[in-house]
Amino acid sequence: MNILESFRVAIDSLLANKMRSILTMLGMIIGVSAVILLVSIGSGVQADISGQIMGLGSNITMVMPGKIEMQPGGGHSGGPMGMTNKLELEHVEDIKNGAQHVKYVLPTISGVASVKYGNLSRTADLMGTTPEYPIARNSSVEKGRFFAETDVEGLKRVCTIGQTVAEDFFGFRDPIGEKITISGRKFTVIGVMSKKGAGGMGIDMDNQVFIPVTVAQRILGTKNVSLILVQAERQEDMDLAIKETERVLSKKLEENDFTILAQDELLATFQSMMGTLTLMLGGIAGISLLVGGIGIMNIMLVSVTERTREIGIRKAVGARTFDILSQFVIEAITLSVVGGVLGIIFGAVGSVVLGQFLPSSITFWSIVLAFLFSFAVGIFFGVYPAFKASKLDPIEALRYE
Amino acid sequence: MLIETKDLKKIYKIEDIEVPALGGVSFSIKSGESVSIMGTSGSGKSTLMHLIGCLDKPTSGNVKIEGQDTINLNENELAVLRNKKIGFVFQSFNLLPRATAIANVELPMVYSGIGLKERTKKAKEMLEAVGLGDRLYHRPTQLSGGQQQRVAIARALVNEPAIILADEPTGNLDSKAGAEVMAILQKLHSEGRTVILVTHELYVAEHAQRIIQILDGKIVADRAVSNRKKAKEILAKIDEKEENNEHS
Repeated sequence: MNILESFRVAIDSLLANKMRSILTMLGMIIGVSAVILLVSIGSGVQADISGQIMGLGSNITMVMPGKIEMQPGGGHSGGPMGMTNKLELEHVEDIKNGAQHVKYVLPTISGVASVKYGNLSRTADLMGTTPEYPIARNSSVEKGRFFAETDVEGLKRVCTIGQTVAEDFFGFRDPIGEKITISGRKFTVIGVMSKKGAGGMGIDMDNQVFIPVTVAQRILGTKNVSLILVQAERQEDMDLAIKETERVLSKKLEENDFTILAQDELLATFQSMMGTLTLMLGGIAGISLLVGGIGIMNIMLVSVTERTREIGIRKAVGARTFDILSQFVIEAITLSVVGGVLGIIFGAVGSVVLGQFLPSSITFWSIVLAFLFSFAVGIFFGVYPAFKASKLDPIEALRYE
Repeated sequence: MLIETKDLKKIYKIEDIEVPALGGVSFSIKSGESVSIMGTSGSGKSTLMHLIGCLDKPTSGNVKIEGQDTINLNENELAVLRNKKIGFVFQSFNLLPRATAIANVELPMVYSGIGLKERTKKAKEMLEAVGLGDRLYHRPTQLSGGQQQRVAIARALVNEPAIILADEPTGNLDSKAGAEVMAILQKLHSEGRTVILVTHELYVAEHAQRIIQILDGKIVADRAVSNRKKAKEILAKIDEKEENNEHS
C-alpha cells in the first residue's frame, strides 16, 4: 500500500469520527495558535520599543540620575530608587561648554499634567525642555513655533502642543494665541507639533505639551531635571562625546550620582531581555502543544483499541505490518497537521486582530516552527499507538468484540 | 498438491500451562477439490483453519501451499501469501463497518497494489457476480446478513486466490440466505476453484465432496461424501415452500 492509499484511509476514518477528530485537533489548534499569537506579541513589542529607542536619534545618549548598572543578561540592579536626583540645569551648561563633540544637550523634565481649555479637560504628557528639542529629536513644528531661548530664560508661560491635544481642544480652529491651563497655571499656545502617531503599548506620542524647562521646574517645585539627552555631532563621535560628558560631570558630581546610557547598549540589553521573554512566552505556549500531542496519542490509542477488529480484517486480507503502521501514523499526522494549519490561521488572524490594540508582528519563523512542531508531534505521539496496532495478532484481532 | 500439511501440531501456552489444540495432523488437498473440515467446538478445527489460512504458525510440522513451505515465512511474507493465495469468508462476515460494499471488496487489492481505477472496476464486477450490482455503495449495516456474506465472498475472490477458506459461512444466516451462500460457493467450486468449508454441522459439511473430521486435535475420519447436498435444489425447495405459504 502506498502513502497515497494510507492517506485516503486516514482521511476516511477521521471523517467517520468527525466530532472526535475536531476535538482532538482542538488541542493542536489552541497550542499552535497560542505559540503564534504570543510570539507575535512578544516580537511586536520588541520591535516597537526598539523602534522607540532608535527613534531617540542614532547619536543620542541619555544621562540619568543615580547609578544604574546594566547587566549583560538584561535587567539592572541598584536603580535610582531612593537616590536623590542631583542633575541640575547647571550640569547641562557644563556639558555644553566642556564637551567639544557634543552637538546638543537637552535637559528634560517629564510628567503627567492635567490640561484645561475652557471647560474641556484632559491629561497630557508634560515635557519641560529647551528649544533644541525638535531638531535633536527629529520632530518638527507644524504651526506656529517652538519656544525660544528667550522664553526659557524669561520663564515665559508658553507652550507648544501635540496634535491630539490640539484636535481635542480646538478642533479645526487655530489654537495659536489661545490660553490653556496646565497644572493650574495659564499658558499661551504658540505652536502645534507635527503628527508623530501612536507609539508602543498604546502610548499616544501626540498627547504632549512642551513648555520651557525653567517653567517646568517652577511648576513642579524642583531644581532638578529628570533626564539629560546628549547628542553627538556624528555617530562616530558618540564614544568621545560620552567620555567627555562623563569627565565634565565627574568634576561636580560623584560617580554614583549619574549614569550615562548609550543607546546601543540600552537597545542590546532591551532586545536580549525581550528575546528571552518572547522565547518564554513561546515555551509556555509550546507546553499546550505538548498537551495537544498527548491528546492525539490518547485518541489514537482509543482508536486502535476500538478498531482492533478492523486491523484484524486488514491483516487477514493481506495488510503487512508497515501498512497498518503507516495508516495510523498518517492518521495521527493528519490530525496534528490539519490542527496545526488551522492553528496557524487562527493564530495569524488573532495576531492581526490583537495588532489593533497591541503591537504585534507575525514572525515567519514562528509559523514554520509551529508547523514543523505539529508535524513532529503527530509522528512522535502517533508512532506508539500505530506500532501497537501493527503488532496485533490477526487471529486475536479478528475475535475481538 | 495445493495444500499439504505434515504432522501439524499446535500447542497454546496459557500462563505456563500447555494446551494442545492440534496433535499431529497430516493431509493434503488437491487443486479444485471441495473439502469440509468438520468438528465440534474445541476439536481444533479453527486452529487448523488458521494454520491453513496462514494466519498463525504451527508449533511444529509444516503447511505447504502450492509446494511452498510456510514455516520459514515471516509475518509480512505470510501477509503477502494470504493476500495472493487465500480468500477468507468468515461466520461473522468481518466487513469494515464504515466502508461501502465496493470499498470492502477493494480492500485486498489495496494491499496488492492495484490502482484505484482497476480496483473499482474489478470490485464492481465481483459484486455483480454475487448478485449485488445494485448495492455497490451500501454500507454493511444497510445490507442483510446474506448480502453481507456475499460481499465477503466477493472480497475473498477479488485477488483470484488459489483457495477459498470459508469458516462457518452460514452460521449467522437463516436457511434461505445460507442456501444462497452455499449455492455461490458450490458454483465457485464447479468453476474450478478450491473451496474449503470449516463447519461443525454435518448438514453444511455435506455440501463438499470430501469431509475431514477432527476430534481432540486429530483427524478421526477422512471420507468422500456419498450424497452431496446441492444448494441450488435446496434453495428451489425453500422458494417453492414460500410461494405455497403465500398462496395458502
